[in-house]
Amino acid sequence: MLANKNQAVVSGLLGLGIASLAVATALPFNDRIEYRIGNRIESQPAWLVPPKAEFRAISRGYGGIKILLSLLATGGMVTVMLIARKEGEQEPIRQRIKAYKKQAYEFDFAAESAFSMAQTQQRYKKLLEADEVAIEGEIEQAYLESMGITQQQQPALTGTATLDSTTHPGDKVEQQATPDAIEPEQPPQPNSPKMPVLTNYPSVLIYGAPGSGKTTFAEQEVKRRLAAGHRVIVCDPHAAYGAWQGCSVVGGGMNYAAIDAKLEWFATEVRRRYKRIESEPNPTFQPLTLCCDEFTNWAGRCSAASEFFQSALSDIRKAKMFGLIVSHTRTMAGLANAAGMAKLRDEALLEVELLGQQCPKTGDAVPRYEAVIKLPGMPLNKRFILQVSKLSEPNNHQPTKQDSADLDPIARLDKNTSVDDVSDTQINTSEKPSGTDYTLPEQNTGNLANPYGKGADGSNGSEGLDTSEALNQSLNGFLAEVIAENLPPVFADDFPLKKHERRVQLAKLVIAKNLGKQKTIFLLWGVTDGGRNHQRYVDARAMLERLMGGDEDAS
Amino acid sequence: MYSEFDSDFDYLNSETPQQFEQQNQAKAPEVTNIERFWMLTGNWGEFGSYFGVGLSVSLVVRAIPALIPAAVILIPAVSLGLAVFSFSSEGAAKLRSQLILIAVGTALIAGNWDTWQAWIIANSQMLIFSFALIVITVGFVAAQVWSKLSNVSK
Repeated sequence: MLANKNQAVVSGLLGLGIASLAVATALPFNDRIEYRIGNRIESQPAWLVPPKAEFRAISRGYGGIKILLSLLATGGMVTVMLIARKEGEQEPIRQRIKAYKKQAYEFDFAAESAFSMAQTQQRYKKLLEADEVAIEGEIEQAYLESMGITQQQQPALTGTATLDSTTHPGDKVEQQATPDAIEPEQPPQPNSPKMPVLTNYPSVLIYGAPGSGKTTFAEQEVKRRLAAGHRVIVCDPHAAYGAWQGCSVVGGGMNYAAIDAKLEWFATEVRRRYKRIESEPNPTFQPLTLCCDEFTNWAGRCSAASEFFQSALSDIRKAKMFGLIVSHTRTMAGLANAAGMAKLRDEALLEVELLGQQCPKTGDAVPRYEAVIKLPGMPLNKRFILQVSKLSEPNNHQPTKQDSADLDPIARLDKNTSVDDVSDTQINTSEKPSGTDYTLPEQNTGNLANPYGKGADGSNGSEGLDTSEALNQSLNGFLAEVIAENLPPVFADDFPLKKHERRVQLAKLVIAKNLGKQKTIFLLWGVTDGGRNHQRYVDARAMLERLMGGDEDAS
Repeated sequence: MYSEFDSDFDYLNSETPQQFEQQNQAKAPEVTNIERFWMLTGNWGEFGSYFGVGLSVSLVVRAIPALIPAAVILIPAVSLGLAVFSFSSEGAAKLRSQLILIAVGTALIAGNWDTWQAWIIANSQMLIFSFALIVITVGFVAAQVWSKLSNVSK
């Protein structure tokens, strides 16, 4: 196959040229005379004919044709030479261009593929975002319904973003419709979701981020169950001293072996009860709740945890036994690695996800007092949000709006402990310590003799506490919160205890925990070593030593 | 030739480092068939051009007898000059001058065969005498040389 049309031209011209040259060469040029001399007949050009020869015939020469053919052949050969030389020079360039075209085609193909892939990716991304928006819309709708705003009222909210938009004439929100849409005191609709009674479900999973209030919520539920006559066993590897009052606490001090033994006992108890159900008519059992705190940590440490989780989902309901599982997550990895139980978890577990938020003052994680509820068998996108009460007991003090952000953790104190001592009224009394109570001497008056500020003068009261036992319980509650860093430093302005004596007593309790000097100083004064704080840290360390030496008022 | 899209060094397909080194050395440029075609036709076109020029010139001279004296002088002179140039030059110029000599010489002999034939017939007696003289002379000289050399070897 010819790669170039000039190949045919050159081939043809070359063939013609060779043929022409051959013909021009072969033909005789001059006329020849055939003659007879003696008995010989010869043929020679005219000038070679001997004078005595007898003329016989004449044959014509082809001189003109030879010249013409040779000239044409010469021109053809020159043309062939020029075309071939030119094509020979251009051929490598042509092949390079061809190679570049091939590369460009391949690159173009690759680029087109990449472009197509990017387009596909974008399309799926948009689909995913649309899905997420749809799910968020459903959650938002459920949330609004949980707040008592019906689906019919929700569209009216869209135009109430600004005051101007609500008053501007022609706005799509009608004046009559607005009060209905934003009325906060509207009684709950009959079909609005409510917090389910947890004891109606054999197993409840409480989960959420650290600081979201899981343990507090579980404590409230445990108290309710105790009040309802349940026997409650708490397996808590992080149990603090005095926590879970009224319950049998197992596994404190990270004793996972004890928890494992208790789980096996639980399984035995399940079997024992079912044997009674099988053998006795209408047996009665005391309801038994096993509360599993920090369930996230059990996987790999408690061999019976997975079996217990499975049993809690399927076996225990008729035996009047209940599981209260507190975990950080709802994934199976966080639920004792119970492989193959995800479907059963979705179908049989009441899930309460507690939401947290960041405290605007301290930056710490604090509860939002909102829970996302997933009833057994409910798909994830149908979950609904409910508000969770902050205090378990209705008689307890409700923090005011102004100090609620700081005082929320106090709600976790025992019900005997009154927190009236931190009320606004108390803060506003003349005995309120000055804002420099905890400040370091050089920042205050430079008087080292009074390291704890003017509040060291103390007060004669017990900050509203009636008995020493109640006082100790209160201080223990504060101590736990201080150590957990849920409260400001003990000698900070905004620390809930305002009486200096109470702060000193609390500081001694902190010191007794032997947390180390740096940690203790941080908890008491909020000062860390290094940098510009060095001098403050040195002074705080001196005050700590004086405090440890019993110099309470240091006056 | 351009089997790899994004790399000139196919190190992944090299079984040994030596193979990789050889692969990376400068390769002699490959000649494609189309390039061979152009070279072949180009060379024969060039030869044909010289041949045609020689043939045409010789025929034109024969057609115009007044040019014969000039041609008899110029053609040997140009041929001699070209031969000297061919000996003294190198490379493409040497090849081209040799090609011209061969092509034109061939054209002069082959294109005028009838003239040469007539000339040989017309001068046959002289040619025979010259041939005999040359044979006798060369034979005598060769015999003398051979004899001397033979004596030396003994």
